[in-house]
Amino acid sequence: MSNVRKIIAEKVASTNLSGTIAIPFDFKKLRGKITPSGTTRIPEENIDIIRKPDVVLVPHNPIGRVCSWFMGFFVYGIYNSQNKLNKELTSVLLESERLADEREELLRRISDLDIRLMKMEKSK
Amino acid sequence: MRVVQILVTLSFGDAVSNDCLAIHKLLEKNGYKSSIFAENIDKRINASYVKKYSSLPKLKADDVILYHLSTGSELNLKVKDFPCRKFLIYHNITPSHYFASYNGATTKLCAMGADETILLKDTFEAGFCDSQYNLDELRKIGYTCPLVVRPILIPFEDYKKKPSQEVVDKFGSNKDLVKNVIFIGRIAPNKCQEDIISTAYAYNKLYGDEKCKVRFILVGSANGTEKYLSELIAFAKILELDNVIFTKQIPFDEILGFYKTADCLLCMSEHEGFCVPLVEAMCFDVPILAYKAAAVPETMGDSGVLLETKDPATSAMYLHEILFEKDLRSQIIEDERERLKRFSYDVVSKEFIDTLKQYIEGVKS
Repeated sequence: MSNVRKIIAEKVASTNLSGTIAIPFDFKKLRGKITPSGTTRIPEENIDIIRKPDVVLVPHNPIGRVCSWFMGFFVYGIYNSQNKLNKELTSVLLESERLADEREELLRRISDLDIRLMKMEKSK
Repeated sequence: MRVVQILVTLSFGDAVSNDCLAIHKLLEKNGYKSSIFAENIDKRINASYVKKYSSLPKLKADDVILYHLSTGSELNLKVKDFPCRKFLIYHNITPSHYFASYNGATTKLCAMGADETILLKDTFEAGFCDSQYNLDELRKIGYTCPLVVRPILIPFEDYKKKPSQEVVDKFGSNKDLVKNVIFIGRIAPNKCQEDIISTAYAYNKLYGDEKCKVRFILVGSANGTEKYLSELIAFAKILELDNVIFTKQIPFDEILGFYKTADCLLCMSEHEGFCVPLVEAMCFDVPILAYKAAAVPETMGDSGVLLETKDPATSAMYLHEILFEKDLRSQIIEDERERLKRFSYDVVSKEFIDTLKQYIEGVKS
């Protein structure tokens, strides 16, 4: 077998760049935060990190019932220290224009499902 | 004498099921009367020798059971009571803590599986382990019966099938402008796909200005780990990465397409009892960069490149060397071709059948 491993290790060591890139968000902070309804709970202290125009965001309350239908989507709600939805911050985040298409499509599908669910409940 | 393989689930295309089916063919070829019984059988597997466990006939004292152990199940403890000869094929069980935040049922199954493996320690006359790592694990929990290392039987013929032209066209073009780094395997917390995303972030920071870009393609089903997948997607979005692709479950020809067009396989998994995708990558001449954990270094042998750290800058730099240093790439591929010989169907099948004969007939070949 060759000494490829040694060559690469020496080359990488010589750059002195190891350890220089910090990941700006700890993945563990997301771990286990998805509630049974499918909502990802993001604590307020991380608001700046997720206040990104391309983060998919919809309010929790109106759709909580059907969130789990959307396995392909992750749905954010902003929670305060009392574990209550912070409607103000959530609505601010909803205003992102770049999200408009995706948000509307998601809300449309949620609305459709909500109507179907209501019909199912009525027919019981 | 009949040789009966028993397992909890016979799926379509996973390593344990492929191993079981390959062993069946091998047994028949060597004159044994072979059959497979499983509690759950994938609908796509339609073979007369595969039957539901509930239809298992009454076994006789000279019948032989080959029991595949890879998960928790009530079936595991029934094995103890079979009035016949019993041999273990141990594929390892993922530690339950990996799933604790994601899937209660899987967590429970893994925890049960670990307990049941201990309870079965005096059940088998002898056993086969996919790796020395697996064998050592059994010794640690008190297995004293003869055990041998016998790598999983891999159906290499299947890899000669035609890859998806769509994938080849989409990901195989413009190789001077974009390279493909793949990981193939179930979306699962023990496989630590988040560390691949971190590597992608560091790679973009260090080499984002270069002409040739790199995309990271995570191929694998998230069946049962949807929450983990959601977190991975969220993580990639939070890090503003547009070069991380999740394929979810895809047909076999598309998997072949990704192997065909890959420039590197990056594995950051922390727990593998063998890791078939490493061998598959060797088969497709894909250089491997893998985190040194569990059975991974054993499967790699002296081939590929191992990471001793999960520092994202370090993994990104290693990756860059592997992707763009032509001489190193060629040498890695040459090493992997050499290593692949260890896992050839002929070598592994001979080892298996010789050992089985020794176990059940007392014949030394």
